Amino acid sequence: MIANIDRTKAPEAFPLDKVNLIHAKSVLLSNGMQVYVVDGSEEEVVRLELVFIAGTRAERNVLIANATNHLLNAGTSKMTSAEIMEKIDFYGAYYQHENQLDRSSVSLYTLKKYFKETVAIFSEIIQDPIFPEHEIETYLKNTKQRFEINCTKNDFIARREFHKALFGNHPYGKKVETDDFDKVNRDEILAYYNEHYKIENAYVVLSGNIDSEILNHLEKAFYTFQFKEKSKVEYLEVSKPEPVNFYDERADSLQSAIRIGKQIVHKTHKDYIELSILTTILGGYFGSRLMTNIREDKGYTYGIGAGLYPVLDTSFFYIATEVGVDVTQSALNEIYSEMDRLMTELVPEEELQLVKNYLKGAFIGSIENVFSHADKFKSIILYNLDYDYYTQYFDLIDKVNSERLLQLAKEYFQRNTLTEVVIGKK
Amino acid sequence: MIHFHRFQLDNGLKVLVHEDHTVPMAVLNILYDVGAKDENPNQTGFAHLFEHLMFGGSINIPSYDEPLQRVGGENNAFTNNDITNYYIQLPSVNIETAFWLESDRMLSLAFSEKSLETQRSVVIEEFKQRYLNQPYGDVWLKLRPLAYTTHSYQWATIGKEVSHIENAKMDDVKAFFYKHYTPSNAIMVVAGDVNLDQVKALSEKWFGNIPSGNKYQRDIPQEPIQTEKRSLTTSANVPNDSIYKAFHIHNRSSKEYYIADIISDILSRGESSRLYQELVKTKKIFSEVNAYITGDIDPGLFILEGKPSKGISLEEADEALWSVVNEIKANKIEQRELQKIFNKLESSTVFGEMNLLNKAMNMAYFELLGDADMINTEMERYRSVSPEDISNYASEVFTPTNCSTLFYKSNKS
Repeated sequence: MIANIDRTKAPEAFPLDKVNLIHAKSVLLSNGMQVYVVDGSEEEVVRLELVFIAGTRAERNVLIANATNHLLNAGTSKMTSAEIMEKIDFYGAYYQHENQLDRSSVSLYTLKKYFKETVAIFSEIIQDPIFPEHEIETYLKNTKQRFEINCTKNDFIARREFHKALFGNHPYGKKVETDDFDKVNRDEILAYYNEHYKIENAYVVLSGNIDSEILNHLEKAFYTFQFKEKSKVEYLEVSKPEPVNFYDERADSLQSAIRIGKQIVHKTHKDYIELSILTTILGGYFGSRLMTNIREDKGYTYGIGAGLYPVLDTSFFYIATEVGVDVTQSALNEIYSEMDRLMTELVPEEELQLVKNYLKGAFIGSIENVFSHADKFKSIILYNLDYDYYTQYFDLIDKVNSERLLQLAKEYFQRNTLTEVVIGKK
Repeated sequence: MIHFHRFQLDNGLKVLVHEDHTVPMAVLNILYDVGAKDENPNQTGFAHLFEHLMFGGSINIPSYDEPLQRVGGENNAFTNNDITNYYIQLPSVNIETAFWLESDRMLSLAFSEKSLETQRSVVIEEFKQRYLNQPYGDVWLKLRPLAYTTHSYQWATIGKEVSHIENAKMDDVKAFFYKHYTPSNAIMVVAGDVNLDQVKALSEKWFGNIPSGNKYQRDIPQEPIQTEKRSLTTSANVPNDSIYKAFHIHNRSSKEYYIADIISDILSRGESSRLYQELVKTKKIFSEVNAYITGDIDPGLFILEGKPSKGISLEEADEALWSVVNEIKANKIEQRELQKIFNKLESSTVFGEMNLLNKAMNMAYFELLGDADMINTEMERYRSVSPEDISNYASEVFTPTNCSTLFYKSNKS
């Protein structure tokens, strides 16, 4: 028989413990190549990633970093692009590449049994690309077409204008225009490649089911590499342009895209973690103030979020949403009133407790498998942080109180420091 | 290989348990056997709107999200034409909270007017954001009714039009709940850092006394065989023309489904695939091109779609797509190319099983298809496909009279 239960009462909740991360081990191959190994998978899989500190930030002219990253596998002196990709696909492996604001990465996902074959191709892609002229041409033609489609999306335009407004002449703020696609040339791609895709300047992260055989294959694949000193990352000065209000009316819009934000402290700054907690309260989870007010109470949008985005030279705070054109102004008013509330009222204890648990749960949940452990490593090493960062993260979640959050909101959320971009109709 | 246990409560609720203690997390996934295909043609978009309402409070618990976040959990849901799937991910120490929340909303919703009013607006904004205010966003709103004359796959999950959502009434909401949200119409999967006895006890405790309700008997008119070539030309303020071709294929449980899936991989999986190599890289007819199957339970669609390069007409683009599929019809695929597809399927299975939520959702889905253990034999069904099967089935599917083409023209060209 089933006993009567009181369904109005929540089951007992248990406190959440910090999870132990698998720490990356630095391994020096005999050729002097430094590899960070994150070993801990039952599954017979391997992921090899090379993260170059480069990205859009390192390019002289727009699109070069993207083009270089995308065209690495467009042919080597021994293989055509078609041959390269046929081989990678044949072994069931995945070759991925990504160009971001300040890093360019390439990665290989493979079953362990095919690591030997696929890492050989992978190393050739990275060390011997020839960037054939016809491949560059096709790439530019197709990305230009995609770019033109993106330019019809209010959200895409809003993000572009937002970055421009926030970073001005710093490379983070560079704005691509349609005719830029006609200006890219092979020499610039080659120059960018030669300057930035050096193994000694990459973080090499190997994760999965790793043993000495895997390390041997890796070493053989990069046998031409000779030890070279890692060059120091140079930080660029970021100017802080005056906050702006940018509005571009697009008459036939059904929704307006909104971006609000500002440059904020670097990931290594003492306030960063607590600011990320404050931002979570504002717009970082489903029950956040912005979601509760603007979606769940008013129904103005399908979604709204706020967050911090760390980059090498600084980081920025953003609020992003798309709202019906008829309620754009009301949505803006509500967003600012939620920020005002954080600057004038203490966050109630109950809400703060909830957010603390939510953040801990989200952290625990973000560790799904061995690759997640490697990702946690990447997001500290790039900022010269160590694993203490995560200990500190859990400590600060426990310690932070409403008074401190009020103080931070007053310091960082002042209306006259915020840039606002609206694309659509008000 | 995914190991699991299965039991059923007296009220008909099926429960599957998969233990995986690698991380201190648990997933509770509930699949309801209801999707957009079960809607009334005059009230489309309802299954999806209803999914939103499932978060608007239940009979004994005013807020669904808040107590879950309070114990470190997250949740979400999706609706498609076949199913509605809800999931919770949370630290395993607090798994009971997931049982409490999910069982109460299976027992009964709060049916709050305020929630209905708000979620109507939210879903209308979703309609705009994803379908109306996006370049090419309305493609499926046009392609489905072209490909299906009879079957309820003829409308998209979001609904045929915004007015259907605006007109949703509380009485409809209640009727939909009692018809579809019963224990016998649901499959629950509990996976992760849990154990069988614990799940059995918690399932009995929280779900055991929910009335079983009446099992919904589905009776959807099936699509007649298409006998004529169909096409529709539409235009919009987009920078580029685009083409979409839909071919009818067999249902999810047939052998032909696997053949179709392999054909879509030959055509479009990875940069070495035929469409990409031939039409984007070599002939430069398309700037992007894709092939995939819709993956529906009832007979679904094989889709070819692409954006022609500047200067290429939609007619030339159409012809180029035919030439690639005709090649599959005419010539048997080489062993190495088929092996490539098998290898890719094998590795995507291994990588896919490294994600707990993904495993839980797949288990529920395969249980709905007949047996969750099919996950473990899925690869065999792909491997049983031969080069002959591929050219034969391609010849059956890729014919003009089995095809619906949407020519999506740019107003600027």
